[in-house]
Amino acid sequence: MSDRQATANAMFDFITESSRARDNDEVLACLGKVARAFGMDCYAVSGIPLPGERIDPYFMLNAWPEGWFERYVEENYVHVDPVIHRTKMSNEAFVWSEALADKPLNRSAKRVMNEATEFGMLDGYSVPLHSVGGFQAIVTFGAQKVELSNEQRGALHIVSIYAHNRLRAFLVDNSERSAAVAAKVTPREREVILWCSAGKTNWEIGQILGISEKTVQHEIAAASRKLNSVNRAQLIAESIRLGIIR
Amino acid sequence: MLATILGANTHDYADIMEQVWAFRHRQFVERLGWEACRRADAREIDQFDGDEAIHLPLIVGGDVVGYSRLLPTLKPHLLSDVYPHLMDGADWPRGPRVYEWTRCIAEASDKTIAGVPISNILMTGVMEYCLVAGIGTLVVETHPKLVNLLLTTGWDVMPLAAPSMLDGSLIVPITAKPSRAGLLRHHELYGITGSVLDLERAPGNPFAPAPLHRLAFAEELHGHIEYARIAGE
Repeated sequence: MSDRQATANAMFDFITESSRARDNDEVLACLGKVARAFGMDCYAVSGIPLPGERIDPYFMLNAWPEGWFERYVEENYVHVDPVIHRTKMSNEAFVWSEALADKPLNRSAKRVMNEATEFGMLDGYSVPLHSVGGFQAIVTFGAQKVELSNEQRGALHIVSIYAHNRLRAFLVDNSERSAAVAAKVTPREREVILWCSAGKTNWEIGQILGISEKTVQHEIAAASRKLNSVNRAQLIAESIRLGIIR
Repeated sequence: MLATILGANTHDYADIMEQVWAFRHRQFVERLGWEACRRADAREIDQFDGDEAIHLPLIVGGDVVGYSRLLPTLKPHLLSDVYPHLMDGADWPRGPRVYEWTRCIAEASDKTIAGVPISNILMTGVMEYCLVAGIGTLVVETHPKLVNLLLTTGWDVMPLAAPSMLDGSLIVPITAKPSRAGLLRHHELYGITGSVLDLERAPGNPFAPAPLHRLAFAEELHGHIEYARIAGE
């Protein structure tokens, strides 16, 4: 198997396996596997706090060496860490030693990088993720030595995107509430919404389903109440959002 | 809004198409430095701009300010004829409802449509067009960074091969599938309130002579709010 094929397979395996992950721990396991395949020892996924905020509530996933996470949080290193600084400035993925080589680091930045080496992170690869709406995050990998080909960097960049996206989905997941709302919609109401979404009028839907136009109106009104919608467009949109129709 | 012009109809829209060729030259050659596409007449046209191409120019106040092109995968396209090596010999999805998304760009400006930046209208319009026209899959060759944008805005994205270096930049072939839920996600994220397609300007149905119809939850144009069209109407 060629290196390119091995790289592609590690990436594909991660995407498939992480899509089945049900919680953070399962994503962590998938990420550990792919990180090792690329020679990386430890990794973390976190949102980036605003100036003055602490990082702890933003951490999504952390497989950093024991002791480092605690120290990082306790010392509030996030605001002096040059890797984080670079992540905020640019959305290009980077190898620490390359991106920081020609930058003069101030004392506190140097201290973070030096202390990281005590925990075996002599170098690393970080992927900034700048999302619509301005939210920033980082997926970061640490290692004794980073030896990644350009293709491997690209593949690890894509792995990071999927890892972060999966974790974000857990955060905003309101599937229980959605399921409860969706369950209140009757099969007949669903059928009517489905025809609405296909652009049919109430009269046409009545003809298709063999019911009166008045009954169609009644079904739509009942469904609109359940989905808290004030018009047809919103009823269809809510139904798609909640997965009642696709 | 985003107009939909089939390659076979370009002669009926000569003025817009002249703007499109000039816009592409300005953006891709003069702004992004794609020297291989430079032309003496400053019109960026290539061998793929035939009858089967679909042109999606974003038009604001009569000016083209954004653009995307879709190419049928059953005919020659970039992945088949220019970058097949990106696939390492593997196949990629091809079919009547599978198109390749190329030449996607918005001008660098702070123009908006009803308060929404033109680049966001462009990205939303491409997904809306796919749903309205019945295109099920797009093949895209792009930088990994764009994978993040597509994935987080609601496309169903899958890489097709490991990324490759091309002219000093990483590029990865992917498929991106549109969905109605994905379009709603675009609307939510970007504050878009309705359709961003200009279907009245040109016929844009690649599969039949029939005109295209807007989706039932986005029949009104973005920026045009009509309150309280109640269920009974």
